[in-house]
Amino acid sequence: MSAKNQGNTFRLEVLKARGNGVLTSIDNISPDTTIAELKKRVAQQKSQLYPDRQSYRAEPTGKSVKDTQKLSELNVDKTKKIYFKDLGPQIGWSTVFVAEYAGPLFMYLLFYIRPSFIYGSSAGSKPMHFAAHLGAACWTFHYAKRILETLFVHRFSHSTMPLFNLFKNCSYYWGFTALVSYFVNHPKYTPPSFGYAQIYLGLAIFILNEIGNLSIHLLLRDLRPAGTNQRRIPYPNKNPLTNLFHLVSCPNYTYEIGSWLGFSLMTQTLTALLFTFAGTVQMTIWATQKHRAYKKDFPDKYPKQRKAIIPFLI
Amino acid sequence: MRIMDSKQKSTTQKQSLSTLTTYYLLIYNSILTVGWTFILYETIKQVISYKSVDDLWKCHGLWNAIEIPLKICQTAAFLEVVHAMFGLVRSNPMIVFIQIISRVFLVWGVANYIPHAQLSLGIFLAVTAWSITEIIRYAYYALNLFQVSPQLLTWCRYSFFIVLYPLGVTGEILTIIKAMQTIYPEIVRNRYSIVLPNKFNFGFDYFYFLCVVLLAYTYFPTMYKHMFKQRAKTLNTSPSKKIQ
Repeated sequence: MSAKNQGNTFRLEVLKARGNGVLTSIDNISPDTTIAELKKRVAQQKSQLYPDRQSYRAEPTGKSVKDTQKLSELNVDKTKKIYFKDLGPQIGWSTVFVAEYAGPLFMYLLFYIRPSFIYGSSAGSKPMHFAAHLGAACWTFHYAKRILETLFVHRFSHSTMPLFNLFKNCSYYWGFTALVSYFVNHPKYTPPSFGYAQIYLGLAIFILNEIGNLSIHLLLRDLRPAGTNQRRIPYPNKNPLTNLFHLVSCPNYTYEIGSWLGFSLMTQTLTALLFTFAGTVQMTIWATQKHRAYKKDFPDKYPKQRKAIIPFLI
Repeated sequence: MRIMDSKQKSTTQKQSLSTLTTYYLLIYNSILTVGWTFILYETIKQVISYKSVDDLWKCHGLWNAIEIPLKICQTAAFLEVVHAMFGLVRSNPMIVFIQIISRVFLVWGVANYIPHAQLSLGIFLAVTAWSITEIIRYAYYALNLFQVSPQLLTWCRYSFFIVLYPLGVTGEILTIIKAMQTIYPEIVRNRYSIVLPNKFNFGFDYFYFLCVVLLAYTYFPTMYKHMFKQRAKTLNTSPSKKIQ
């Protein structure tokens, strides 16, 4: 660690991590400058590269550095070089959750009222089965819960995400919302084959898994103290639903799959099952990545019997 | 229409192909060259027998004459995805798959599924374009296995597409439109679609599905341009510059 330098400013070359070439140079920069301050200075010189779009590394390949770190901690004051990556156009989280979660919420309700431009003019007056009402209630609850969690529970490691992801995610969520809600709200909807037993069983499974998912989110929130970057192994707490941590690394995803299985059972609608399947595939990919990261960070201490997402299996 | 491979097989790579693979591919490519030649022959034989414009517009009897060899040859092309997956040929399996799927869909998902679509000029145009392209392509591959690459054949392979690709696409679109016209009325539509109510609450309207398929053809200009680029790359390299 270098001693605090007052007058030891230098000229920093900001190089492009991909390909070669200089992005820009910063004159008279002090070794105590943090990455966050560097980002502001680069943005002054390159106005379209606002700070959230900038990512830095000490080496051309490697992990990006945190905003709180100083140039001296990274040895950049010796090398006088730092590597830059453009994360692309970024979008703030409020925009993200409005589009990704409120979109499906309102779109489902749009189908729920059976507008004539979708179902024809006589559809609105036809009776709607109890299962379809429950479907709308569950769907609304699920996405309202997500919005509230985004606002009050989750802690994000980045304040923005790339714009392209938004387009991709919205297509997925909005597309599947239309596919599921069109059929559940259809005037020709057929109730489940095993009647109310099936409906209530599906509903119970849904509710249980929603609470489970919330329990895991609350646990994860408390796992990392606010403002630190500490990584810790999650363990079950007093809430019995968190005991799933004994068996999997990402029980929140496991519970999410359970919720949608319950929904599919309750509504007996093929597209709901397809939606469940698509989500399962994606979450399994994420869970196995997270699981691998845990095992890498804690090679000795990480519980061996844990799987990524499906107990005993994967 | 098939996109050409931009990578020419280098001699060293061919040497690494085992003899068994070479002979298997030789048999495969030869059978398909013959198969498509037969399809082209039957097609022309049918079409020159037509006496009126209406005959040509409806292509009476054409499908019946070529149905079996066409189904065999077109579906067999899926083997090429397997060849690419196992490295027998140097192609991206995903790209090969996408190229095949559109043709196979036209054969099974349009003409076979909706028989009235068989009575379309589109079938004649599409099959003619496909067969000429495939004869050249498979012959080219077969000869290439033994490092024989006649310039004329190469030129044909990278030039005929200029006419054949738009011709084939036109044929495919005409066939799909004929199919859509056939299943537009509700009584007919329901025979080809999954209708509500049913216990899985699933519906699939084949007419709207074909609408979406038609939209996919908006990709044609991009593909066409890409093939011109490939042509420029391949035909403008002098033999001395080719990697030996």
